[in-house]
Amino acid sequence: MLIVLACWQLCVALGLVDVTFSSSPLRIAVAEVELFGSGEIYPALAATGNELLWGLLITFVLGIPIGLVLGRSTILHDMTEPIVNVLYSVPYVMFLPIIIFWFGINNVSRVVIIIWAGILPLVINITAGVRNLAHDYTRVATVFCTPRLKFFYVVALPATLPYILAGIRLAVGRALVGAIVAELFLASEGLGYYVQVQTSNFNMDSAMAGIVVLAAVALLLNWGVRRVERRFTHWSGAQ
Amino acid sequence: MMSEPEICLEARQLQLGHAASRGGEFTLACDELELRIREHEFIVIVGPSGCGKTTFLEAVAGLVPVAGGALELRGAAITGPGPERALVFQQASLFPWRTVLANVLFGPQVQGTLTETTKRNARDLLTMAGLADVADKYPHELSGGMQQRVNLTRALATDPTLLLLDEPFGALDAQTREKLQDELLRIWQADTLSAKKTALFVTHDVNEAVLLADRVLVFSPSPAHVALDIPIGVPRPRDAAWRRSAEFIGYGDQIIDALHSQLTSSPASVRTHDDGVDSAHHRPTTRSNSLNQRTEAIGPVQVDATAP
Repeated sequence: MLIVLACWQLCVALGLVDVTFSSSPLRIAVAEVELFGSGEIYPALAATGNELLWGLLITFVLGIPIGLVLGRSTILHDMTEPIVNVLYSVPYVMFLPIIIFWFGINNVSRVVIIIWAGILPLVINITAGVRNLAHDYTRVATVFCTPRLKFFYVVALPATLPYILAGIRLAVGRALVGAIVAELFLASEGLGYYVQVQTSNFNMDSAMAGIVVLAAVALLLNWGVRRVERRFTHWSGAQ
Repeated sequence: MMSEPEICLEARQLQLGHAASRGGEFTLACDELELRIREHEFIVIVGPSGCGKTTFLEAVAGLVPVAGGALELRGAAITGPGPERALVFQQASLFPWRTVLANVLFGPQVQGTLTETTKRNARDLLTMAGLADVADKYPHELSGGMQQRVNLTRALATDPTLLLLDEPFGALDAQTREKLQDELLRIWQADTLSAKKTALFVTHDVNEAVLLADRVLVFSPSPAHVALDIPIGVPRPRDAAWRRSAEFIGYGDQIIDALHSQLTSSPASVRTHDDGVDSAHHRPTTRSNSLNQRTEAIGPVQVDATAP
């Protein structure tokens, strides 16, 4: 990482590449400081964060129960599998024009795109997890007369937690992509929009600085999910 | 106890079986099975592997539907699992995300009887099973023998009237097994939650059967029926010395004979004396003829058939 940055800086210093096109690490650092110093970035960050928060929240609230139920019910699983597969295989960007047509160019559309991007890997992962539920667990639950509904949160939910968290990690990654794509296409705020505008204005330093902020957000989210994973599934690796 | 004891479990002309997942063919595991188990009895079922004894136990637990005849618990037909029965599984089958204590409390929790009293009882049971120190550990931190003890404690925590045990010590090494057999007897006799429970224990280990049982039922090869019913009229506690006595071995031989005569009509396999006792070759053993037939390979170890 440091070597790449150093090479980049060196190339710029030697005049091998044009700063107007490529910026340079040092100039990005300066732009970064300006970005935060002037407070220019905060509205963009808040807009993207807000979309992501709502998008992910709805993704989890819908995706986890759907995944659990699809995993338990063979009939529902077989009925929905083709649809899920088609939706997952076709790049969701294809649906963008339709989503815009349905929901308009506003926040709702962007949240819908985030959900669309994130929910499928989550559902698929959880479904697989529940279907692989150890036979032993279900037998114990049956013998001790576990009521159906209780089974979901006492056995199915904790037993599939490793799958759920892996699904969440995938979902978060894809949701971030969804958020940025949505902003590039249909937004007047947010990080994606910011980078696009700065690039259009040939302001490469600020554009790159925006990307750095985005990378930081992505890493932070990933780190957060990993923390949660380690906290709650310490038992799964050690069996 | 001299007066007419109550019947806990009764099977009349019971038929059990499995439908094959492909083709729908129905194979009988038990046919014309007749048995009556009294309250507070410790019954051990012995039979060749694959004879249907586990299927019978699962039917009592409510996991396998009754195909024909009657299977009644205190006069009521068994149609599914119930809180008055608890099963100790062959594999420990603990939930790895729950601590030992939380695993033991699983039954009360899902049955909606989780109170301060059941929690205290669970703690007492853990102490009795020698697990008090590991109550807050996770199953993967425990040895196989310890996990099996948790398995047993979990079943006891719901305070069942009928305790079902499906070869719970089958997967353990000989020493651990012997130790746990003693502990099971101790816990069963010392169980203070309520009156002594009725126990139904399935094994293929003849010694284990003689040691634990008030009455041993020998199952025939599949489809199973009761081939022999031997009461073990020996007072408890039965100590280690008794395990080496002629009386003990006599009972074992009777059971092996019964298994043997059943086997002549069927090629199903049977494991008799387990390594637990066989590993004690150095001991001056006294074995009668029936056993010698089974262990011809050890030929030169000649035995005095007229045991003391």
